[in-house]
Amino acid sequence: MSRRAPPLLDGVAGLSLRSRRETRGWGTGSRGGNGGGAAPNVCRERREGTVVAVRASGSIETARSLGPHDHVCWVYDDHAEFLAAMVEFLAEGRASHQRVQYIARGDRAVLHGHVDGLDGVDDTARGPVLVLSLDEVYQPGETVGPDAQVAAYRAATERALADGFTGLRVAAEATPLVRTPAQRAAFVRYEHMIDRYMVAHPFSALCGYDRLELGHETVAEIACIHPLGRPEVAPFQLFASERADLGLVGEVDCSSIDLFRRTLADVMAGPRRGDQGEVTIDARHLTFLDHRGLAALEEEAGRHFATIVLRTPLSTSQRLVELLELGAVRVEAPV
Amino acid sequence: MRTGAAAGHSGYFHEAAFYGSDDELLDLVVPFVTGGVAAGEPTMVALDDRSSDLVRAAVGDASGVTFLPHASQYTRPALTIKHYRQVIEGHVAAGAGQVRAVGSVPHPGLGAPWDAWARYEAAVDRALADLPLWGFCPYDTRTAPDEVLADVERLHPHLVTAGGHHVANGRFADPQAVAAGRPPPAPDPVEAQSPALELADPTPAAARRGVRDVGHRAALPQGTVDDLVIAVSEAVANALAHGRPPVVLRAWAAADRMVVTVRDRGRGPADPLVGLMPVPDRARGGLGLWIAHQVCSEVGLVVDEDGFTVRLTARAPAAGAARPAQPAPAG
Repeated sequence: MSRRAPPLLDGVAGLSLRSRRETRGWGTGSRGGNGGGAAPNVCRERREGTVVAVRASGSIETARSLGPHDHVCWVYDDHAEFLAAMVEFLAEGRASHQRVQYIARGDRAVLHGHVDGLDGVDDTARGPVLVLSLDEVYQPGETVGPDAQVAAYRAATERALADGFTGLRVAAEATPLVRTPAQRAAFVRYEHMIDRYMVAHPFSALCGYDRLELGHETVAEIACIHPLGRPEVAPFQLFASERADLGLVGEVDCSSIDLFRRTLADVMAGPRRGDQGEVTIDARHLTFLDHRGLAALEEEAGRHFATIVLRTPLSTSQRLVELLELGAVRVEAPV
Repeated sequence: MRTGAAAGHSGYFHEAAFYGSDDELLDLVVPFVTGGVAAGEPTMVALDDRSSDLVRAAVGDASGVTFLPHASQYTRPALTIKHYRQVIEGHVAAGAGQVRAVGSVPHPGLGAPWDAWARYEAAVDRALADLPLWGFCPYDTRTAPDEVLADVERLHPHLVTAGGHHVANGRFADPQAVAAGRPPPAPDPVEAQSPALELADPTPAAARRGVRDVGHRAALPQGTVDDLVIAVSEAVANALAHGRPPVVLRAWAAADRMVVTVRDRGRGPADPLVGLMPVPDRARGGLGLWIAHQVCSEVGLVVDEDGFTVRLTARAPAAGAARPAQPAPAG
């Protein structure tokens, strides 16, 4: 397992990469078939006066131009389409001198074939593409232990940095890990925990899920806890944010309220930063949150003896909070 | 302890009177308010501006009576109910045994469509039922149309006669039945044009997007469009949950307002006063229409043989002193 270190950029791992981040237009919620759909609905921006790149959220059409903290749920109907996205994602990681890894089910030799398309697989200056078969790691139907899994990626990220890479980038075909409800319950907790880790560490991931095998409802359950996903998979996305405890984009209404309630409860059950009795949600790109969604926030806040601070420019949220006389939800303008 | 005609009464005491001259108005209102002040009961006047000035001149500024600006107290029925409840609950919490309020309920004679306020008059008996309120609604027979007077006569359990006698109203009828039996609210004139948007069986999300686009193209203020979007989302959610397909949404935009109708083939809500009651029980539903009544300038519920239609109107705030034109009164 000897790996040669890639040349360092600017001497400090990660830094040069961050300054390369591009700024794209923000999507303002063109979810759902209103025609068009060509422009990526990504919320990405740069913080004024610093080089810290803000991670992207929303929906994307391609796996290109993703940064060192990005976390994508790539739901696909056609496996070839996933493979193409995976190759794009890992190729850019290698170009940015990240250690890259591909994980999927099946024979390792076959998986190596999937990454053949990567420029210079054996390019020693960039290190090899690590390939891992899920069959070697998990038993079928095995439930992933969230803590152990996060610890493993933390160690792998630190190893990548110690070896001179700018970070770790993983593309995983994770369909076998979410087949049963028990697996999914554990996986949702894990996904959010790893999402929190990724906010502050140079670990990026693209998780592939087969919609035909899992069904629309299941992929929505998974997609809605990723900051980035493909259009029209999840009605909303609730994820770790570097600006607040949580980020929220998309729409919550009568058709998505059950999923929102469950997801919110899962996410709130995890440890939070700050923990000052306030849970902040960066909702600057939220398109719609109805009274059911606000009531869900109120209930969850009550359960945790906390106040939920929703930072959104939506005038409707303030209006509804006043009308419903919600005491545990406060609406503020985005900071 | 309650004083006056409502002494011994429990809950809301809802009383009307008809007057035909300024003197008759003062003969009715002055004893009502001075009696309240003398008994130490919080006493509010929310009459139209002209009547309010007459009463103020008669009782004097230092009367202890609270004068509420008519325009803000009677903007839309659901807000009026909410505001009265808040104020009265505050007085009760502070120890008041009774609160007195006299108000001019808007009608076409005062420049407002009657349908919405007829529903208000029908709703308050239930919406304020638990409060120790003596509410007095004097109607000016010189300006109120006959259909208004006919409804008022059936919607008040108590009346004051021209001679100042407080009597039980023999014509009082079940307000819910009166509301259900009224003619449907008239369409907005803009509905005669072809709609700017028509959607068949939309999801709430598609309905929101479509209405937002129409509002923006018509250059209506963001807040007006946002309010309407909340209400439309709820109306479509209701049609999907309680109505029968097909659901058809239509939207029209004019310079000062937007109108959206959401129609399904169902029979509509069982309660014609739904949406006007105080914050409904979430488990029992009705919150969506309550929110629609709070945020829209007007909400019309139309039940006919073919189905149920919710009409939602959002008016842009009036620029300067000019008030936006009201649609033709119902009936």
